[in-house]
Amino acid sequence: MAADQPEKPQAPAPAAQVQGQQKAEKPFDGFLAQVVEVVKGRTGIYGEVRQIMAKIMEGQDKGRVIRRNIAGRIKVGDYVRLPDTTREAKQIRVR
Amino acid sequence: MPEDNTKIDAKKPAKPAAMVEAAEKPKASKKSKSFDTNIDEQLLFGKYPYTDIVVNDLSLANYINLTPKSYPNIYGRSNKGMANIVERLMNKLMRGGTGHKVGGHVIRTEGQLQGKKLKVMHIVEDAFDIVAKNTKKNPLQVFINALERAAPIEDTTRVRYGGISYNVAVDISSVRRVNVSVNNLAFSAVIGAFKNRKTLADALANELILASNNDPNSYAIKKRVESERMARSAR
Repeated sequence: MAADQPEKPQAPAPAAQVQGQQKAEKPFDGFLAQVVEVVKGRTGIYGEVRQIMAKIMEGQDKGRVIRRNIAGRIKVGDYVRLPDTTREAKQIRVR
Repeated sequence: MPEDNTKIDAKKPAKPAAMVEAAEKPKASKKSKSFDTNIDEQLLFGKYPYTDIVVNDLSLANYINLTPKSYPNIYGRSNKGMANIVERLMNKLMRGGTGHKVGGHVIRTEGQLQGKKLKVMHIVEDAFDIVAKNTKKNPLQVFINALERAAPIEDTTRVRYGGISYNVAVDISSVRRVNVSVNNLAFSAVIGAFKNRKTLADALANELILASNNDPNSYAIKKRVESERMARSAR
């Protein structure tokens, strides 16, 4: 799955983020990623965790799409900061 | 400012030329002090411009609302995302203490601020004045920097896989990061001003300056570091 992803054409950055694209004074922790897909279903004891497929935009794994657990309201096209890009979340089993 | 004058002309072509000239002449002479004529000219509290504010963190840029408003208030008529970010700070300050234990005690003030938005507005204005005096920067930019620094990127929750529940590290969406960050900044001001000579404005200004410099003495920064440390151990 990961091998196919780099061949995908890179999506053009949305126009709304012009504000943030100026040069950062100090870099922030983590790697920037964009949400490609919000997986159906929820996990967590209170149902507060959702799974997303996120496309990494910085660092070594740039262009790869990984599955992550995420807390809070999320939608496709959002940017998130991932502390690391090596881990991948387990798939949700629908019963 | 020639550009602004052209905008006004374009908007109201029907006005007689003499009136337009009369309206424009004083505006050109004094610095832009009008609050309601042009949206771009609105200054926060009539003092601080919105124009040169930069959000450096791309992930938070979409969820920090910086629509120019001199006295930001949506009167509770819309959701969080529509509210100016300064208004959200005000809303979080309108509380009668901490809801839970902080340092062994639950702080209960006498409810001076509950439901009193105008009072809080003046407190935030005072705090921003103090920040501007001490740092010689636009206090709105200092506040935005503090927000970015105090927003955690990782947290822990309990997730159940096949009947067994684990503590698992989860990432945090940008909406929630802003929520947590604003809440912690306001919370620390309430703690700092309780049973203390400091006013709430002093405590808030102090917290904003500390957090914008990523100083570990700040309460919000401490909270961020703690949550990220716990998450790192639970990976």
